[in-house]
Amino acid sequence: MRDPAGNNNPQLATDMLIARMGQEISQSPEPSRPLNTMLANGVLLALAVAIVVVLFLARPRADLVSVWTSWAVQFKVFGMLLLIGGGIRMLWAASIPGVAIKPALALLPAVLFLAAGAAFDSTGFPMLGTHALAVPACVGTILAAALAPMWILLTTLRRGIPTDLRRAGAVAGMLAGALAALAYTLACVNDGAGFVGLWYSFAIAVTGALGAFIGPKALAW
Amino acid sequence: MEARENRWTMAMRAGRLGVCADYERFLHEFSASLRRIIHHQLNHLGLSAAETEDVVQEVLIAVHSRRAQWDDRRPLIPWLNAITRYKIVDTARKLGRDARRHIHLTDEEWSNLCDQDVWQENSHPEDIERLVSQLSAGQQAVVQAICFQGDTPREAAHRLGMSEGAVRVAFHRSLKQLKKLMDVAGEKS
Repeated sequence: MRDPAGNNNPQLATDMLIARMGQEISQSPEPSRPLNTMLANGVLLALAVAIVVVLFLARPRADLVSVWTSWAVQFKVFGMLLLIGGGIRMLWAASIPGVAIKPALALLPAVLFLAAGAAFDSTGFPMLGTHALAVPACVGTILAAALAPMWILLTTLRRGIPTDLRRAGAVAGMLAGALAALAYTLACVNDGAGFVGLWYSFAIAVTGALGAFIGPKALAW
Repeated sequence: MEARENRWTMAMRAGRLGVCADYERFLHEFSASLRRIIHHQLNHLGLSAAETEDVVQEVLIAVHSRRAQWDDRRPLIPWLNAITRYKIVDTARKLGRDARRHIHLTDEEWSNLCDQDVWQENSHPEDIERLVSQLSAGQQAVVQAICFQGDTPREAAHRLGMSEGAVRVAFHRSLKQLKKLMDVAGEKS
């Protein structure tokens, strides 16, 4: 970056750099490149991949068509959609320097909805599921289905300008988890709001933590 | 601050239309304020003027290469500040990690550093003095305290009003810089 002449006056080298940048400006001016399309494509791709992985790891539930409109399933779907909405907003903020969104605000609707559903759950569905493998299967499938989407979302973030890498990674992880959980509703037969509120949230918290951990390494530029 | 935001915003917009004079003026003003910020934020690392300039250039390159991604409906200076902060933290992390490997030496090992390496290859004290005088003022003070006056890092820290950690970092960087200067001097002779 420093030429020999700049050794005694480093600012000379910077002046030359600025002159080169000015040249670039006049030779090939770049119009603005908005972010939103790129983000939307990334999220949609991540969801598609999550669905594919879920269908690969677990069959769609046999009664899917008949229970789709039931309160139990709609609760899961709507809860995850609220989380995804907040996550998308945070992903957008994480890719723009100087914009920060309070996570509490973005996630509050989802948290309130899931908590209320869990508190008023009258189905009597057991919190640990109906068989021994219910929790590991649920959490495990969501985690597995979130990995590739997390990678896709991190790649999407890199095309923006992330400046708080740990937060950006956490958001990517959390959103990947929520997308995977949404996909998992196709296969999930645990229809208790308490079960869903607890274990889906747990899985998403884990993916968020994983994202926060790898964020600084994966997003550095 | 409003005037500066307006001026720089118009310069960025002008840049998008291929007008380079305003854009270059903005970059010059921006780099001047960057120098002040970096000097202030990374003071504890004892950066030389050249190293400070390296960081300035990194920020300029970051801003310039991503200029198309600035949404011109949003304020520019917070955008610049966030990028600046990221690059400063990133630099501090890299330089700190570099230096941290070398600062866990005993006091005796520190004074041994003065005997070997840089000094052994040079049998003329005037040459050493000349090289040391090419360091930055802060680095000169640290080298004089530890090597010429025989201070331990703690004593040097007390004498110079710095933290012990800062003294160790600055001393390590001084040795690196002196080696570089010696190489340059060796090539010339």
